[in-house]
Amino acid sequence: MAHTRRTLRLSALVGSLLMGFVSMPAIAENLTQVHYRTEKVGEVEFFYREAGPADGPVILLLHGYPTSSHMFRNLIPALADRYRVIAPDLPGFGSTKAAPRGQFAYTFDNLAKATDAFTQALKLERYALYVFDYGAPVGFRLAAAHPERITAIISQNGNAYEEGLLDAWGPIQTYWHNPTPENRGALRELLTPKTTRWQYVEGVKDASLVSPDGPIHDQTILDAPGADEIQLDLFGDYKSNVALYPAWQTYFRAQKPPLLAVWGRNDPFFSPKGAEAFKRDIPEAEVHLLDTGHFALETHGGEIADIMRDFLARNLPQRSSHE
Amino acid sequence: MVVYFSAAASAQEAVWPEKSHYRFQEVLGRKIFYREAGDPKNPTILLLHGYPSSSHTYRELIPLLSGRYHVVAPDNLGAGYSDKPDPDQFAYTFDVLADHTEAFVNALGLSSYVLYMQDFGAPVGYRLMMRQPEKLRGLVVQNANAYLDGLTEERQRFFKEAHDDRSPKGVARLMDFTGRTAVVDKQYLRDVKGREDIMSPDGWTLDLAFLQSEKDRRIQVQLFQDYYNNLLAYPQWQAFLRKRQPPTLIVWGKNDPAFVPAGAMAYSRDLPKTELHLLDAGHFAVEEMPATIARHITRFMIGL
Repeated sequence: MAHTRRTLRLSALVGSLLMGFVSMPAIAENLTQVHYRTEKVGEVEFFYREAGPADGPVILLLHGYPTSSHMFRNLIPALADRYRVIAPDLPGFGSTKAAPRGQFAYTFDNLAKATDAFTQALKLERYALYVFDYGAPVGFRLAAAHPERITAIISQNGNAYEEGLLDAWGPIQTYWHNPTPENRGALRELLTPKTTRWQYVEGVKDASLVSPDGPIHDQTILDAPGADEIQLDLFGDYKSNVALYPAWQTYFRAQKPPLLAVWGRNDPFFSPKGAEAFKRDIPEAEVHLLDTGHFALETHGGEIADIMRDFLARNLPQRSSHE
Repeated sequence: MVVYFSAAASAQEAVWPEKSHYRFQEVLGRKIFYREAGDPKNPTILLLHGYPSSSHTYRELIPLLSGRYHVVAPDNLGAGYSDKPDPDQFAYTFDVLADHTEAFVNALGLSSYVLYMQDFGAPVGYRLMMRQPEKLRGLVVQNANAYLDGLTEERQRFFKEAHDDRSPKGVARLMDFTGRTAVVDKQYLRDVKGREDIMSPDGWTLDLAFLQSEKDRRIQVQLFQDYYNNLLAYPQWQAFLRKRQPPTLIVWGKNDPAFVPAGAMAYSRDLPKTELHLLDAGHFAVEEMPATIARHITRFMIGL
């Protein structure tokens, strides 16, 4: 056959097509159907994507800067045949509606509090965490506060170690040390379409694999009225995450959650050293470094789904009907 | 060509989608953006998008087909990521869109293809069909008109007025169709009442990002003004279909009040052997049920 074939665990994305040939089309369609929902939690109206069986093990996908659950648009159907996949937009991002700056303090503590309340509103008693970029400081706060709820952690360029921070953080670190208006203003460069695109293509060998949809979608977030000051606040507050690294490391050592680090190793923000470091505290941690950049899902979505499915099958209790 | 799996085997083995590529091709001095996936040695499916979208509308369909087929989805000139010549200096018509799509197909060296058409994709695709009949392997028609039956009388009047009334008031009325409310509430959410949660906001988020400026919107207004010429061309397209009998699959969202199901059924007058599936979906059926449509296409392609 002319086309490339690989033997892989079934992805729902592909499976839905194949299962049609084995006369289960209705089931397949239901499994791949993604729902786009909202949940009002206190003052925040969360937007979230949900797919998969209601009684399946839960995976909570937490996105990074400057995007939203949009970054998981291809991953969700690749997991949803087996898992209940839930991906909220954090306050300040995407379609989630939160109070403007001044009425809501845009700090990582508050993003985590709101996200924690969201998980409780959805009655997610136990879940696996997928954390990327900003999703990491949110997710690790949840995990450290409620270790009993966490079934596993997948870190995709989601950092918890100082050696993981690279030079791209320089201007932001300058602002941490000297929070002057000048140093804050200098960070506006990070909000431009040029920087957004750069985050997607830096470290990527074949830029034709990077969909322009991600950067265009993300820029609609950054260009929304009032978004700039919110994002500058979060750049400033990111130092609170670095301050918490030791606490999260203590949590990793004490609880040793099953942990998979699957990282783009050419990420200009987070060094692969940050991925390897998980093994210091969780010797069983599995580390996969992919030859791509920060937004590894954009170029290596199939590979990441495959690695995740293998890891989750070994580490998560599965639904009995799927065993 | 296609591989049938037993239930047991299918759980372990799959035709994995090929990675999608996002590229530009220069034609007639302008850049046309396109999505491409799959081995070029496999049969090509050319996906032509509708209004108010771009090739983005096929983002979920493409990986469902790319394991078996070579899939190519361009953005029309003036839409999506393709170049947008200034509408003050440039007249947008469906002939002009077809010129660019034809040049695009030639530049990529596509010698044969199956056309998938939705909405605006039909007047572009049928022009392409008339110009390159030797390259046409088949048609997939999704809420894509070639018959007046598909348009209510009110709709036909709308296109006639859009064509004839170039007054500021007439233009302003057409501009309203490019606004947020028109795109989100009157298009994407119109056909999924009571189950809005199945419609991804990504569709309109991206579409509206491409309709931000007044000039972006006037490009689409010019196409509304030209649309009536498509109705006048229907008899020629029908004659072609009658004479050439291209293999045709119709997958039509039957809850579409803009392009009504009678437009799907009308094809059988000229193409008695056509395969017709009325889907429980709306105008944006490919956003609602890409897997179902992919299965129909795969079965159709096997039979070619």
